[in-house]
Amino acid sequence: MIALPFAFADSVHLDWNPRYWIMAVLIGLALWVWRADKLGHLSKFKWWLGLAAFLAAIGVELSTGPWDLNRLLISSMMWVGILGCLGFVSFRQPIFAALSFAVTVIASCVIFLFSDAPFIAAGTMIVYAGATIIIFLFVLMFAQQSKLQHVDLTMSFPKLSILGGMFLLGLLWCAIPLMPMGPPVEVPPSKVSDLGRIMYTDYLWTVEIAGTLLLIATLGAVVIATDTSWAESSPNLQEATRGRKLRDASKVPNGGESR
Amino acid sequence: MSPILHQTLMIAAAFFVLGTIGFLTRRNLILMFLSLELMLAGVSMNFLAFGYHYGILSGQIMAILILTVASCEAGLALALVVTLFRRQPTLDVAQWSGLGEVNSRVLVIPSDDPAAIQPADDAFPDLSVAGPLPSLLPSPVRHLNDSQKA
Repeated sequence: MIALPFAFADSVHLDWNPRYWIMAVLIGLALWVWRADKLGHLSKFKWWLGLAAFLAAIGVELSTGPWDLNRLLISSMMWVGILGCLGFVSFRQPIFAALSFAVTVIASCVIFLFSDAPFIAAGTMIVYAGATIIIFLFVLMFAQQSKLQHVDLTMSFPKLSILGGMFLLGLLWCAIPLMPMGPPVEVPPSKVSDLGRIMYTDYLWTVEIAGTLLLIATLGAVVIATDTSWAESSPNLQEATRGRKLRDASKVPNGGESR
Repeated sequence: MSPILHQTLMIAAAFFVLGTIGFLTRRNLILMFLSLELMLAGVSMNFLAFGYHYGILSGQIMAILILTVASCEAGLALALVVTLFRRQPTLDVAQWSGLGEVNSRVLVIPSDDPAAIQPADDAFPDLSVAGPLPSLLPSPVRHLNDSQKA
């Protein structure tokens, strides 16, 4: 099974670039060490060991290639984003994991600017980091206490997932240079007005369907989240509220409104 | 391949794979959905990179669509998580693994020939009764009596 991809190496002329495999292994090692529970004497150094592996991966990536400003800026954002992803997978406290995800989103927004997409960068920052992550944080605050729970302390299939994931990452990184594609097309920098024009001419159906999807999702979320008709028969809720009188607004002076 | 495209595709691949690892390893429902968002961010970056390479705006349109769909998915998923949390006050996905059918049949795989996967003796699934029973109307097909059978 392991030899299967190597058997096709000659036929697809896959360039087994060792640099990418070393980077993938070092990232996997950093993830493994940061998330490991039983390191024995090394457990007090695990953050430093993971950081060393991460910095080694950065060193391997920057060891060759052009040293122009574009590349350095994109590389820096790449490693900030990957650090955010590693923190998202490693942190046991879910709030820290969500904030690491926010760091990743910010790094990806800077990379969107390099792809001549300022509207997407701003939209992603506003929607992803400003709305989606806030929603996730609110639900986390609602559902999760400050003390760490067993669900966050353990991982399911950590070794298999990290090994398989890093193998996939190495394969993808080796396969990217082999993709047949045409030369880059030089066009003047796009304006947001061009994007708006194309949205409402060539892609009108897309925009309308996306808007309808948003409306349906909003209605569905409101209906799903506020449906408490089953709660009266729920044993958990009855057990939790036994002996506690729920506040009734009609019995409170001024209808419960505070001045 | 231009260096910007190459680097951006590498970043997108890293985001996608790390999101996959997060989805497979995390047991917290909310963080599993955040891992899906991370995977979608990687895919969005891919579209933008190719759109920039070929000088077309379709990549940005796809990124807007991905953003929209991700927001819809996040809203609905969190509404479901809140509902599930009201049922059982835990975010552990393993608590909901008992929703499968009891006494479900498994495939019989002979150890000497793993390629020959044979179905169980009774291949029909054991489904629970759902909904009202259908009305037993008389069949329009005439059945042969015992005297008419050869």
